[in-house]
Amino acid sequence: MNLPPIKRIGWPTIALTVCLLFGIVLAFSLTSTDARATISNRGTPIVPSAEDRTALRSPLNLTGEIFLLRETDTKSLFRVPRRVGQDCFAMSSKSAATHLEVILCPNNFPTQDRPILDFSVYGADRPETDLRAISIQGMAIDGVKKIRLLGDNGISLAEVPVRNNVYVYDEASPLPKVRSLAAIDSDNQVVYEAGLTGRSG
Amino acid sequence: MKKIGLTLSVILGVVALALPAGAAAGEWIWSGGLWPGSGGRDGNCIWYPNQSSCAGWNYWAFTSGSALSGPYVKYLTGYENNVRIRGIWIYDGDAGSIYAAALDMQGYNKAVATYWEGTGTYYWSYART
Repeated sequence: MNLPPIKRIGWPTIALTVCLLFGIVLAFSLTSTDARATISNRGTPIVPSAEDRTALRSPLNLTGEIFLLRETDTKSLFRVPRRVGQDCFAMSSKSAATHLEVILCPNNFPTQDRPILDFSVYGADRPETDLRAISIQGMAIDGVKKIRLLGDNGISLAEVPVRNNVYVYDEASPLPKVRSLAAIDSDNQVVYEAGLTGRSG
Repeated sequence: MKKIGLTLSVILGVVALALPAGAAAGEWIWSGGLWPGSGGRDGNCIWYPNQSSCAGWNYWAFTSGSALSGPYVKYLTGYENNVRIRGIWIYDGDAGSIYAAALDMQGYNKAVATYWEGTGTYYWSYART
């Protein structure tokens, strides 16, 4: 994959970014009441590529370290620490030039209120009008055992195991029309839903 | 405390909005309230124009977004064109960045942030070619 040349980001952009991110962090620190949860898998450190180092220079205040959490046939997921605040996480395709194709810095993950950080891609192709999952992957806290894929009207379509705090739908068969995901614990209880139907604690 | 946090968020958001945009060629910066009816119809958007903010047509390769923390809200952030939309969910208080290649959306497209669910809040978007 050839990434385009990196352009210089102007001071107004940086100031805008820092101001808003500071607001997010500050507001979260004042309002958070979420019960913290754990992710036992801390990952294995990897050496950032040149493309990674470009991505790491984002305004997200990243330390520059990347930890591989799990690699499957199609996707890899990573932990990307920040200098201040909670870890960010990243996802990349197998053939990507950077390990940081998608970075998410959540304000309340990992917590009991948000037990999964969903990297699933949603979208639609004409003549469709409703979104569906295009690919399914993400992170889960300790205690989440599997992810149930739900179709229209909440019908269960398939289940994806959580391994090393990571779930990836990696089947050779085409992905069914998934509208949302349910996180399932060891008692087979739904602890969270994400996707088109939103989330619940 | 929640009120203080939310108020500070809004204030900082407004301060950020007051800064000069200064986007160079190949860059797109947008911030503002993003929920149905918050900013009117965005004629740049193809798929959900009444609840989205979109960049103009370009070879956007990278986009990022963040939503101020506060009440529950969810945005689809990614790319769209006349036949396809792809994105990843960003919730209140989250920040994220997405290369177009990760969504198989390289090429001539529009960066997009679409309100999907929740109370709605201020959203910040950035994209570059």
